[in-house]
Amino acid sequence: MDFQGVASLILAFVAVAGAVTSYLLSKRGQKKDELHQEAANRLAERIQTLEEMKTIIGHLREEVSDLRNEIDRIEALGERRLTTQKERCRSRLDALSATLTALNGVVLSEVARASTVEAVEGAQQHVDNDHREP
Amino acid sequence: MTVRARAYLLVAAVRHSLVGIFALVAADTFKSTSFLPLLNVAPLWVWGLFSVGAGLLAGFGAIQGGLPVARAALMLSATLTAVVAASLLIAVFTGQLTSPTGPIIWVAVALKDFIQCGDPLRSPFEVLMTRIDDEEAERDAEAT
Repeated sequence: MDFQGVASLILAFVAVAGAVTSYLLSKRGQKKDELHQEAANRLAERIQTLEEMKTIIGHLREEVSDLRNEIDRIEALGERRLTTQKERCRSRLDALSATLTALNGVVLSEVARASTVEAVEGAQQHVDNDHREP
Repeated sequence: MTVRARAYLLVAAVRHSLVGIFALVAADTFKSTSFLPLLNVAPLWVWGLFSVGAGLLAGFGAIQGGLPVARAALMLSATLTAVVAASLLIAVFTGQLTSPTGPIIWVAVALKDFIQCGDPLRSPFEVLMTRIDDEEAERDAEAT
């Protein structure tokens, strides 16, 4: 075989080897494409999930703030009621104290009157019995 | 398809088209002995047709952006360029070509073609970005 024949064979071999190599490399490139796409899709899903969680957290924060405001409102209401109740109790207590004082005064005057009556009756009896004219 | 991949295909399309057109319409200019190993396998117009075909395929792939066409164009370009590089190397060894710069550049271009074959041609976020753009366009349309 002359050199031209050998050269032609070499070129044919290079053509076949080039075709096979380029095909195999192209398949690898395609596979890399698919892997990258899968990874990007997973990343996008994760970002989507994080966005949804962010929205949920936002809503929960609003609810917590609303609940806090409600608690403050109820506490304020409770304090006003307690204050009102306290005032009512104090005024009742004051009234009761006044009544007791009055009653106490009455009771004392009753006791004094009874003692006075007893003393007066005793004195009268003494005058009637002990100091009778013969 | 990434802009980089499209640009690469476009450059390959221009390269193969110009070489092919010259081989077809100006065959008399290919008088150098460095082409003898190639011409011993097939006449110049056959190589011209191959080259123009590779150029058209690469150009179509670059414009259309379809991956199968682009990959076929890259495979054809890599194979054709490797064959021309091998032919010029043979010419250097047989004394039909004195300067080694031609084969060096053709081998380098062939290797670049093979590397491009093995790389992804698309950004993984292209599909997602297109989807996001479409959703935003829909929202703007609804808002207006």
